Amino acid sequence: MSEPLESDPSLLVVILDVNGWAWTQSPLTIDNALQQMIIFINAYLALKPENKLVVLASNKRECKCLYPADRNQAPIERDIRIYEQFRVVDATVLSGVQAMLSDAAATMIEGEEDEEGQTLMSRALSKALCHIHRVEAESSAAVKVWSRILVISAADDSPREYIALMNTIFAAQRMGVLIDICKVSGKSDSVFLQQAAEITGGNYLKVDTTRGGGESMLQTLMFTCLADHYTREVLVSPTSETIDFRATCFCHKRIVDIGFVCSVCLSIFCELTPVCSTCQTKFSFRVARADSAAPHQAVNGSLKQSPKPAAATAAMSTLTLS
Amino acid sequence: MATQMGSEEEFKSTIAEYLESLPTQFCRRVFSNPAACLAIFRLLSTVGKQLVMSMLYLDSAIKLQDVYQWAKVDHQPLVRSKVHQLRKLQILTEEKGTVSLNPIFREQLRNALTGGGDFSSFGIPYTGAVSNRGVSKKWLASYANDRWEAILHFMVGHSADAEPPSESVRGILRMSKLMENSEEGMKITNSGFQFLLQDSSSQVWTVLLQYLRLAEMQDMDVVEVLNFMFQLVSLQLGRPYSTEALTRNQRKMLAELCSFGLLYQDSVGAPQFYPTHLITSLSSGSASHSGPSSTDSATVVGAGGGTGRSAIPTGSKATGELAKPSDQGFIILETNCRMYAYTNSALQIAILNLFVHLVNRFPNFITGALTRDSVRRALSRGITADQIITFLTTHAHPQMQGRTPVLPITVTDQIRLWEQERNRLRPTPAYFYKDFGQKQEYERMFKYAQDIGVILWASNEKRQLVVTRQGHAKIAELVKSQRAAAAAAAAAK
Repeated sequence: MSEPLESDPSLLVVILDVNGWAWTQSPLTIDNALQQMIIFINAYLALKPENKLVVLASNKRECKCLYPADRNQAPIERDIRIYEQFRVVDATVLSGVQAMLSDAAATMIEGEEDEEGQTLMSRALSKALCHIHRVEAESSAAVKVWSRILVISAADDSPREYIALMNTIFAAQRMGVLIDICKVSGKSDSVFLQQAAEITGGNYLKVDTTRGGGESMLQTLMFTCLADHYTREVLVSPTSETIDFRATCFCHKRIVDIGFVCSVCLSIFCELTPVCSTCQTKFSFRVARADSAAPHQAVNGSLKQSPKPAAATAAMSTLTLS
Repeated sequence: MATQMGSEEEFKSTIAEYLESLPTQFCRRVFSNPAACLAIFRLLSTVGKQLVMSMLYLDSAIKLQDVYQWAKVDHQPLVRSKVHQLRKLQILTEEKGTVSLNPIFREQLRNALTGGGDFSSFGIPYTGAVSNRGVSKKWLASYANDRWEAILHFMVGHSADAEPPSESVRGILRMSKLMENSEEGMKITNSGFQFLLQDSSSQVWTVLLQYLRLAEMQDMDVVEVLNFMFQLVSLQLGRPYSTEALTRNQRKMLAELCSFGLLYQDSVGAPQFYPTHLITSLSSGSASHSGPSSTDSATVVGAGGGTGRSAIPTGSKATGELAKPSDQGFIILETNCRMYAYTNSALQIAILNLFVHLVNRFPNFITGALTRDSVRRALSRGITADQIITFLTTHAHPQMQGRTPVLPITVTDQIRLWEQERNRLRPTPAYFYKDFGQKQEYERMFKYAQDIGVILWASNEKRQLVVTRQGHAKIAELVKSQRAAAAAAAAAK
């Protein structure tokens, strides 16, 4: 891939988590965060006139594209104090978020409390990648558009999303798309989104809302997430701390330290199963037992003891992830 | 050459240079306008913008050293130079080793981003009855193109049938040395030829900068002119704006920019005016002057009916005034240096004639070839190889636009070689050092000059050294301090 040039335009896809429940758990209100995000978006648009923007909003049920919005909506009240371009974006995004929040409140269904704090990030990310792909395909060959995604996340990880999420992350990596994560609230760091930032070369930021007061999120965003590909070559990015690379198992969606891996399709399981649920391979238990009984001989043993091709009688091997 | 400028980037830097030359109190007044702050911010380099944005919401000053630490090790010189540039523009203020943004600039740039402050800085829209319903974006585009093209026609001397542009336009053309007076009226100069080859936004910047100089000479308030200029740049295409709040000077400027086709007024003194794409594209950077299909915002892209198409710039920057929107690309260049152009515009033919040996002319088509003589003729007029190549690239036929690179490599290389052929000697102001007393003295100075990178030529055998003008000042300081040290040492003995 060629080097980014100073004059190359960027494409930024902002994914905003609008999970109302998650924001109530956060020290920062959603209104406050929205205001800061709008300023950040304006700053991004101010950087280069050619810069392009897409804003997506996602909650646990749906993912909507807020900007660019459909053309046939009511014209927005003109406010002369602000630059026209900014005003259009700001008004569209704000009204979109409000509509989504009220929709979600109206269609609240009982009995979903256990997943209340989760947002479907994989859906939003794949939609973002589709937008990026479209823009890159439509732009002329002479102008390279460098794309990145900014996720403003408030909700916790949803373990059942793990596979889909990892697939989108690897797709983003292949496309050369950076994913920046701004984690606003939530009890802990988001394990999956941390990996997203790490794998794609983006930044993972946890906003410390207790310390810096209201504007700390904006300052963090301005400092680290505003830089385009070219500037990131020049300036230092914040160093990430140790990243939790743990995976979730495919059977119970639990985050596991040590698990079982199918030797054919690399699916991860938290407990021993006779048949791989992903690729339907039957495991040879003789080998698996030898594995657990005598760990030292496991590798040698499995090779010697299975005369048939590996694909036919796959052995389930243990895998240590950390 | 006073008005030599290449790309738009270079040109922007000259606007920046103009701002640098303003005294502090002027800068303060310019900065007190959010639209001006935003426009100035957009003139900065990418890294400069990031530095400003990083500091925009920092309330306390930070150490200069810390700012340098933001850069990766091998990019530190770049960041240092950007910081220096920001300080020259008075955007950054330094105090005891710490830097912070100019408080006025910071406040107004924040206002520009959040929508506060002086409410009229982004133009007051005209809300009264619009007398002329016919002013559409399309109409404005053709109006602006006609006006601008008429001026360019006048410059190349093909305006026999058209009326010459107004006195103020001619005055600016004369002042900028794009044209000069001669016996048979006004004549285009070499820098005028270069001007013709630029894209339209560089040309508009040139005109605006000249206007500033003119305003200075006429003792107009430069800040007033600058603020109005930055306000114009941030206006929205196709909307009427009110002239009510404008000062007398600004009204005067309005009338003169109308004669360039940058603005439109129904009649002199009408209560509303419209910006045209020539001036709005300076800030939006969009090449869209195609009228109704262009959307409100140049940054819209992706989903939504019809937004994607207009937002993606096709080809390069605005080429509007030369080519009508319908026939932007018209030049075909072959690897054997032959050129075919589908055009019947006298202006385009005149421009091509600057560096192409034209052979045949048909009703809508001309043929010619780039020859050594024709290119050298252009080079001798001060046109650079890059300008020729850029012109050919931006006006390449759609069939050629699809290729990478757009122009055949053989031809572009040949044009560059022809240019190099002329530049075998390059004069550089320099200082010559010779007759060093001791070998160590020579070596010390040589090493120092090498470290700061100012050596043009050196001979170790003859102990002679040639350094650049900038280098001389530093070396003189070194010598002075060494002499003083030596004298002190001698006195101590």
